[in-house]
Amino acid sequence: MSEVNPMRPYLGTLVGTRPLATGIRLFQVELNPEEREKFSLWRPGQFLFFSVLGVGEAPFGFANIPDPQRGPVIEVAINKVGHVTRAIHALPLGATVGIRGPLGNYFPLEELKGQNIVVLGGGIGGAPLRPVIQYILRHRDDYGHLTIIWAARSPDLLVFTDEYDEWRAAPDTEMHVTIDKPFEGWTGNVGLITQILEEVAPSPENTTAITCGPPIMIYFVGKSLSKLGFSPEQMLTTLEARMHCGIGKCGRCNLGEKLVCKDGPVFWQSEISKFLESFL
Amino acid sequence: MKFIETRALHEWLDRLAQEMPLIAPTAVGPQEKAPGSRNPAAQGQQVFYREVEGAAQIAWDFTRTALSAREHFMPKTETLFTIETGPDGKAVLHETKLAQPRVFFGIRPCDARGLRVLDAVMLGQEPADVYYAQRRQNTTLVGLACPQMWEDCFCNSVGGAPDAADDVDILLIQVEGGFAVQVVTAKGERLAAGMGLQEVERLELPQPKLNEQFALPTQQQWLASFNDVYWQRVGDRCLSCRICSYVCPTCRCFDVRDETVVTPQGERIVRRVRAWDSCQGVNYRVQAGGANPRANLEQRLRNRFYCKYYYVPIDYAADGCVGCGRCVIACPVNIDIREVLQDLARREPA
Repeated sequence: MSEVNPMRPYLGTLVGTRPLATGIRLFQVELNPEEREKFSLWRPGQFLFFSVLGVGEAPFGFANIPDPQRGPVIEVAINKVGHVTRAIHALPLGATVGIRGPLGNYFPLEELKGQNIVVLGGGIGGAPLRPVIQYILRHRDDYGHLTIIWAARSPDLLVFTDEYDEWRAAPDTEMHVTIDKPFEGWTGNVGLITQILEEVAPSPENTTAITCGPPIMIYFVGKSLSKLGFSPEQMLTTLEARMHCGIGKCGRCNLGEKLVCKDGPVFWQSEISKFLESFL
Repeated sequence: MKFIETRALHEWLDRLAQEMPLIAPTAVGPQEKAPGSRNPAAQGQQVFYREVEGAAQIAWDFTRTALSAREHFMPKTETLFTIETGPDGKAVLHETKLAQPRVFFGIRPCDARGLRVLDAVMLGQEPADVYYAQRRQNTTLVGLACPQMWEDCFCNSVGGAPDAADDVDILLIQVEGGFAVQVVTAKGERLAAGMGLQEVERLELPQPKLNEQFALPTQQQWLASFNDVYWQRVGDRCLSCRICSYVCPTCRCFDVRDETVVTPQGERIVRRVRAWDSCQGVNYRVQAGGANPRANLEQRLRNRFYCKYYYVPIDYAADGCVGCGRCVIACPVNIDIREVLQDLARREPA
């Protein structure tokens, strides 16, 4: 039996934060030196529990990949909506925080080498996809064409806008940004992500699409991808659910016999379509 | 065959209680019905597994305890760690350690079987839960066979038996003048060494009276019944009161939260606690943004049955129900798990 207590968070320090969108901020945590060696490096798609000690903890996807230069600085994008997230937004720089993880499975990016990748992010659903983009850009020669389709309800809800230029400038990469409804001052694409996806119409040949967003978006993006000729074995997504352990014990996150925390959060569309209980 | 006289057993228990915590079935609550009370539950005492000081406190003649053995391995609320913040703002976590060995005496075979399910979830897959693991490792289980299946028991329909020794370290079966003793595990052997057991040639073991056995739905029937209108019909009665989960020996869902308490001495303690929860509660799945993927009663009720008989067997290779009958008795609107199982087993899904 392992000596590690999976319910005990590793302690770290809040070293940075910046606004990403209305209500959404990026938080950077550096683990305390004595905790670092016990914490294994994470992969794109995995998640963590962020603790405000004395308030509580909640699960979030990692929003970055480990940086070889800066050591394990963890980034998470957090929307201020609940008890814990309000407390996170109120933290001062230098505050002690807790991190449990990395948890769950991850996007099988090693297996996708040599393929074209389509990344589809809706709202804060873009956050767990940022490590996918970072990973592909870091290993650019290992992948084919990269298509990024980024969407939000309105321009103020688009996340990581300051990084779009860098993504667009990467070799063999295209990016399309859209908002759901017309908005004063917005000159870019207007329309649902499915509409833009069908206009851009990436070829399904040797391609995998990776989607994250609200469940209803994941559902309709799946329909559009099918229309374009993608099979369920070419569609990856990541789901979320309320959780209290992240290690398959608290019983909270099941969809039928599947546990989002342990069997996921990353699933192939072909798996999701066989779920006994709908993810919608 | 090993045997112990009743008096010798009592003496051994009295000595044991001096050496280490001894948990056993014991009567709790008022001896008399409160004057003027019309609440049937207020009458007499209920038996719980509780720490006792000796044999005199043990309830020997009981059916099933009000709560299962689970509360001693996964307490209703437990502190995972306390959080101490220094003047420099740096935090230190003090994890709860549970090192003391103890004996759990008089556990019913169904409750012991319930621990098998909790073991599968909490220990069977890495990473193991260290709190549960410590309690489990430090506890020796001495089972007390049921002389018969009681009203509402159905252990024999879900693979158990009133005198099953499978999940205890030692099993006692009451016989004339004392107890037949089956030493099941090495842990049980270590404990039995101090019991002063007699070796007897042969012992007439009683045959416990069984309740009528019924067939469970097959895996195919579970699969085919998920969207059956039947769940709306049963769910229509459910109150979401969650009592079925709380009395269940195998329910393990928990909530984790931080709280600050002030002791009577004025000390402020900040801690992270884990508490029992139930998938039957309306807020169980609610996410911070307000989404509730299981907002309907019938979805929640269905989840409980599927968890026991379909999900747990697939996910953890264990049977999720031990047939103790507690949820049958506790349900205020008489949703009877035996009835649901038999309905599903003979129904054409609609």
